[in-house]
Amino acid sequence: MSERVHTVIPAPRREAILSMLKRGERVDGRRADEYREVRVETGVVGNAEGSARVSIGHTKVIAGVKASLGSPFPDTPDKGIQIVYAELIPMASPIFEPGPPDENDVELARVIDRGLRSSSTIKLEELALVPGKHVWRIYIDIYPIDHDGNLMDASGLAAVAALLTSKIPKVSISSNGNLVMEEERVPLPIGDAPVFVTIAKIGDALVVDPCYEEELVMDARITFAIDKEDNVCAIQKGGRGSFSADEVVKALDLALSLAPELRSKLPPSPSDSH
Amino acid sequence: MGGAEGIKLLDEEGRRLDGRALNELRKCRIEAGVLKNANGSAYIELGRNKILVAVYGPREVHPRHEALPDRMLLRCKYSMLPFSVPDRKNPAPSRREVELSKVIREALEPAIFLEEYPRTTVDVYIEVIEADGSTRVASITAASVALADAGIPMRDLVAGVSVGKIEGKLAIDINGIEDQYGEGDMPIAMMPRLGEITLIQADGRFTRDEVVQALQMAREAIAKLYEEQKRALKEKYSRILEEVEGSEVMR
Amino acid sequence: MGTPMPIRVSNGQIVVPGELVAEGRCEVLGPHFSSGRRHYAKVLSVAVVEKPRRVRLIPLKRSYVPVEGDIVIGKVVDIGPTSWVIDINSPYMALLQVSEVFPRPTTLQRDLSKILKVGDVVIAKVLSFDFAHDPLLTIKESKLGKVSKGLLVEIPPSRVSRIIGRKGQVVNYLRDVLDVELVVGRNGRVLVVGEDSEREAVAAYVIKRLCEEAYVPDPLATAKQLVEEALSSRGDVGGRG
Repeated sequence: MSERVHTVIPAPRREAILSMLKRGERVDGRRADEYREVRVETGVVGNAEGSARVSIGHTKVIAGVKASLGSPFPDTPDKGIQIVYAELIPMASPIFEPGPPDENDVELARVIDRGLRSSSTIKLEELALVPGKHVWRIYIDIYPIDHDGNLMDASGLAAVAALLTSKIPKVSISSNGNLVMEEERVPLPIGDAPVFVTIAKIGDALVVDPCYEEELVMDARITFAIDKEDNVCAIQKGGRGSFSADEVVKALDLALSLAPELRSKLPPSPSDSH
Repeated sequence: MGGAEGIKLLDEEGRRLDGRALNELRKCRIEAGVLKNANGSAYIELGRNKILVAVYGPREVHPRHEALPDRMLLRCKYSMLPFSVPDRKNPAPSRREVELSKVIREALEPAIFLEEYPRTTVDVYIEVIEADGSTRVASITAASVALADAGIPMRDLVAGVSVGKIEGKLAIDINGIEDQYGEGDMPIAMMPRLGEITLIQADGRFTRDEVVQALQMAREAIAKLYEEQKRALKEKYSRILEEVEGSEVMR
Repeated sequence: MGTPMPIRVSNGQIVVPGELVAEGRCEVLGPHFSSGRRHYAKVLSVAVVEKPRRVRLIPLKRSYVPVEGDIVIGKVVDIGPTSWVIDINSPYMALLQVSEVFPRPTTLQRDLSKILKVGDVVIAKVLSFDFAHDPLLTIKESKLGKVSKGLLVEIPPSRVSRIIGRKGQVVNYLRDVLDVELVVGRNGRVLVVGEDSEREAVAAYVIKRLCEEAYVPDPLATAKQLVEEALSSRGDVGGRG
């Protein structure tokens, strides 16, 4: 019940946001196609195989990558395993309550997971050490720590940045068939590096990177995951409203035009340095 | 993914494994008002998919503090029965079911006049009895029939279809095998009269032009599903037609 | 001479939510919404074309929403410290406060269940309802109060006016021919009280059958037919009057 204090926007404020948009202005002075300031920092968690801390405006997300050895899934014996998890923890916002993952935590994780999987960000086929028996399991855990809107894009950036800078132990197989984990660390085999771009629909306006207040007022949002070749590798519409087909295409074009700028914030891919 | 496992999803004439053309829907049959206790209900068969939807509401909200002061709450639970898939599914709600419950709710919400019954809830229960690809959009198609059957006020029905990518070509209404071995899956739901998209998701890889094409293909298929939705609702109550035509109302 | 007739549906047609019913200048009755000059059905309904420019949409299902002044028949489902919670066959649970039970203030009765207990049926009047609060009922006035005899029939709330009929035709007919009194609650509950329990049962049956179909063009005629069928099948021809 107390979240109502933080999720019900005062009517005059809502009116102000809507009328500003009619004039082409956003509540924080941005243009419709403008991101807030994006900062990406990697290697922030020593115990993780890879990690990143991303901020978009006041929104802040930490992602960590951990790897462990395990058995593969029965139907993909020659592939490693990717598991993405996210939790909207109470420190990030007065509207988040402690407890098991709810539909928002699950949606966030699964959209990021699909974007990574569809673009083969992790080359899972290169993570089978002994097909059918030993593969690498890569865990990507995403924790927003400050929620000012657009957790999706910040989480996507954090997850990818963490993966790009992840290093896993080199593993060799001894003469008697045992796995030997060496001191040396090698980069995680990386394929693509998708970026996630979220567009909110507020009235007739389509604006990118909604801040929290804009999220309270928006009719709906749509997120596109865009890979390096400008393919769409995930789409997720969210919210109680709807989009016309034209609006979907306009939003997609907006996302495609902004993807390069977002991608420029990512660390280089391990294969780039060869 | 596509073709790598040695499965050819398209033959030399461009026909799919089950003989369909690329833009062909599977056989679809909807029945309205199939349950006695629910306020509204519907059953859909789409290919081998069999999905049952029950709607309860508008009714009191429990727990009471979750009621919204100015509108009806819409709650939605998508669930797959353990025997609906080849490998028995654990009855506990999976993360996939949690996500689908959310996106299905958000696909139906725009169509409902929620402000008409403040402080109440309408609960939609979806049970997938047998699954063969595209269950979330088939669920949406059946759920909106169940909502109409329950007398819930709506501005339009909602119908959905999936657009897949098999061997580089876009295909309507992909089944389980096409989803598993294809190169992408884009479920789309729309309010047919208004032309508004209430659900769109995707995995796999699509170019910008393929997204545009998929939207167009989906629109055409959804128009056909809409006809079947109307037919199901009208047929359920068609006895009235005979009675009224037998009387003279207009003199 | 080309403007098409405004009504776009045929008499007796089932219309789904969002379906176009009429376009242009005409009268659309029943739940609908409009966009400019286009009128659409809002709920699953049957369309009755009453005149070339008037169509009535009759919902097939419709919940009862309390209206101030309505007579309703309710069932006690819970007891609080100073009020009873009454189920009135509505998405909205109603409250009957102890001050709305007796016409004059009485000595405090601590145990509310001695006045009305869970399961009791009452004829009540809706005192007030706005969507922000639970509907409030009263049984203080005459002809209201606890029900101690008779049969309770539940019918779809949207068909209540059919029982009442034009100027009470159906109610009067049933009273004359079956010697029963009817209390018709706006919330879709009808109380049938008579001396003869057989006749009560016939009346209850007739009411139930009369309200099964979404649209009945002549309720009185249909009621007569149903009564005759029911009485003759019970070997009791003619009844009283």
